[in-house]
Amino acid sequence: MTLNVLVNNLSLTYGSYPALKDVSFMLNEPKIYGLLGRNGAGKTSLLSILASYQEQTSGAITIGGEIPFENAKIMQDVSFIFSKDYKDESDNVKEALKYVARYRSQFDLKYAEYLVGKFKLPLKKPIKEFSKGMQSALNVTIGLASRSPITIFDEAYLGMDAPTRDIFYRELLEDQSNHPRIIILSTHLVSEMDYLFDEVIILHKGSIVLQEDFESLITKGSSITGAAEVVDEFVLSMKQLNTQQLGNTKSVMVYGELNDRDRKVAQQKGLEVGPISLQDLFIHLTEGDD
Amino acid sequence: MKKASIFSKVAMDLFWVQLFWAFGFLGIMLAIHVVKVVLAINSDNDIEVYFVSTFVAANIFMLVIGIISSYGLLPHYVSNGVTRKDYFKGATFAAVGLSIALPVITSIVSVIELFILKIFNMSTIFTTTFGERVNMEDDGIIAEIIQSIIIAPYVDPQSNWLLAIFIVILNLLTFYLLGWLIGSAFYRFGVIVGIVFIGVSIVLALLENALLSIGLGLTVPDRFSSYDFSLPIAILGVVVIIFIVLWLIRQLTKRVAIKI
Repeated sequence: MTLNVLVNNLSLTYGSYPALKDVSFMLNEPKIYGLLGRNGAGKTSLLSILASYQEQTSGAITIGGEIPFENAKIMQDVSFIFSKDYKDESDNVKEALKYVARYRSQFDLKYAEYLVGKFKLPLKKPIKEFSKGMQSALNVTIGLASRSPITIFDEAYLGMDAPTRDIFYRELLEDQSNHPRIIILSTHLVSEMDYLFDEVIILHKGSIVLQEDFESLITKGSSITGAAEVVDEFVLSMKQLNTQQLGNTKSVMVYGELNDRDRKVAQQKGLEVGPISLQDLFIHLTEGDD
Repeated sequence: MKKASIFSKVAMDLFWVQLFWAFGFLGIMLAIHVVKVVLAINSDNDIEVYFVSTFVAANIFMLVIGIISSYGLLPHYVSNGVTRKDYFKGATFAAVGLSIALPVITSIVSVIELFILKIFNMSTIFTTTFGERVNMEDDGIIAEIIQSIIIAPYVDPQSNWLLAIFIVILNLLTFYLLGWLIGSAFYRFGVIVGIVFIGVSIVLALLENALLSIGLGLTVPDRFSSYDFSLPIAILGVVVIIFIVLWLIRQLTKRVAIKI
């Protein structure tokens, strides 16, 4: 069952500080959505509203057509995984998993135990004695094994080393293909995680900058490299994201798809057309006046 | 169908977790009590049965776990997809269950204690004169507050054990709920409002204390000495206080943002 998420003109203010401003988007398919944003962009605020941790100041949100806040049916189907504070948790992994399984109807204990093995988590040690990375691995285990129709990972990888993150990414892709559901990944690690995303949402200063399919998004930008004046002339009418120059060689990142004619012209003029990464796009779409 | 059972699951979980904590507390109290019994046997001092010696500390124990329930347990349950409402209902039932379980357990231990000491003809070490409360006519409000916590109104279990247990249940439940109220106010609004709610809680505790004291015919502070009513009315008053506190907790936690 897929629950769709509909967010309409959502705003959240803390006192007079606007954390979210008129945010609207839709998540209709069981895909992996990458939520990107810089520090303080409002990612966690947005996700905590989706997970019914708090209410918006104005605007509307529905999940499966219903208002999620204090709605037992919906809240059971939304898992919000973030870097939880375990300093008082004297339970061990076994007890913690058993507990979650009581409240998450689709929890797969066997799969959870498999993940615990993969992450090499000690079963009997109190969780408060775990390293940050191990605690994150436990969070991720709970998030994946809960199989909630809407699963949110908010920078869930904090403290994990590279091999552990790699296990997380692989298992995420594998389990998502076996049990399709809406998974939202919020992250800073754009270049490392971009291949995971089916769709990308970029949040900047509390507003949505774009929501687009990953594949079509990265074809939307190109880097044009060549002799400075030739490049300048070529990109004149295009939306320029960034310019780098070394001697007489200039490289300009442009936003907007190049058509066949453009490419041909570029080739004739001896310009090199290359792809740009999501990371580059992200940086240039969210940099500026601060 | 699933929906209806969530709060009962929460209630069971919370009841057992908190009872487990209570066993730790009761165990320590039992160890202290055994030492006191041994000392009393070897001297001429009177002591109180286990039931009486625990309830002073039990009020404070309940206050503390009431506070914990808003800081640690509510976020934990919401993170598992439980609504604030289901948590509220579950935690309320668990608190009632715990308030009943505690005096029942201490009564059973006291009966066993009396039985054992009677076998050895040593049951005379138990005082028969308790029920005498500190005379605090001139001690003012601070003494009154301390007394309301430390020497809550009680009935001698050896004279009317059912009523004794019932009064303890009311005391324990009130203190748990006041802790939960204070914790919820701090959690939602921070320090200043939290302190205001400590004040509100003290007033409610004093009121509960006065009601039961008047109803049971115990010494009461001057300002209450002109009142006189029967025990059922006093108990009704305490029940009303309990419902007011529950209502306040619900208002504070109904839409509270969970901290991350």
